[in-house]
Amino acid sequence: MECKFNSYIIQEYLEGTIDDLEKVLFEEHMKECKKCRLELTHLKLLLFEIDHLKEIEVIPKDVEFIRNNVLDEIFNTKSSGFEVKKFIKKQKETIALATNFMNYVPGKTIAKKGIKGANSLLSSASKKGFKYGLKLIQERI
Amino acid sequence: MEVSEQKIIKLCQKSRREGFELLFKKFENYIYRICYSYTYSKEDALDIMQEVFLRIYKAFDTFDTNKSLSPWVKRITVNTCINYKRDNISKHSDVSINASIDDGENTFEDVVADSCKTEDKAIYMDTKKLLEDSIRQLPNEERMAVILKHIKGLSYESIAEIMNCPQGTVKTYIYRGRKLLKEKLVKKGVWEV
Ligand SMILES: [Zn+2]
Repeated sequence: MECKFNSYIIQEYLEGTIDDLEKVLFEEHMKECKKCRLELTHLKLLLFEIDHLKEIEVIPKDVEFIRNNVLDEIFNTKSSGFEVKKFIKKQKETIALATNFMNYVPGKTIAKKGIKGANSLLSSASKKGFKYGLKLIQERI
Repeated sequence: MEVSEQKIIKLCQKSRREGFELLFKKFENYIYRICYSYTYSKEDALDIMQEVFLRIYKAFDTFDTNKSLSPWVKRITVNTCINYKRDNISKHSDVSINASIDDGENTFEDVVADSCKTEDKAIYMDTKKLLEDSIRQLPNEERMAVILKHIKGLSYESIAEIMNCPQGTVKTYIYRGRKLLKEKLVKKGVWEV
């Protein structure tokens, strides 16, 4: 006997969203089809297991640590006190301007490398060796 | 004292540290739980959480201040999880037996000792662990959809909103995810009598 009922239809049957006619057909079919009966049983068992998985209850203290580190990094409180975002924006503008300028200067490839070097120096300066490796904000702005 | 959402939004608009501090505090438990369910690893969860914080800060200009914060934050969280590099996650898979146990007060030894007493518990632990491992191995979207549906208990409608895709797609993710999980557990012989 051919089996046209796939996992999708069986899951709709389980969730009660199956179409009425299909439901009747499926129930009839199951009387004959061992494969579908087994599939249904396994899906029921899976739903039972999965609905019993619990969310973690205890939130580790590290969450606070991460929050403070991110805030320090964003607002740059450990150094001169002005905002990283503005600082980086300024840096980017300067670099963009310089790059534009360089396009009109002979030997620009080498000069550009110099600019890129300055840029990555900025990135390593903003690295504070976070335990969880805070990615550079600069890359994201 | 609970600070109103409007106040938080105003502070964040002014790019004030207190604003983001309040915002992070308000949502960090929620964010952490999602990240944890997604990775079953404390390190990965914290790593993603850190990225979520940064994205919130970075994207704040795009937040529609007439709307409420919660769905926006949830969407960023879910997105960050889904885009989190897979290789970052899989490297922790071999220590996950400890990770899945040490969340409670029990040490690994306690659990092992206990499970020796009752065979049922051993089987239960096995299935739970296998299921968690299998969830972690699902494709990203399927994994997130299954977590939001079964661990968070959300409706298809809410999941569609958070995952920013049609309800039909959410349903497909969940059905496919369950099918893969079922196949995995069957293959591992979990339900053999
Ligand atoms: Zn069949």
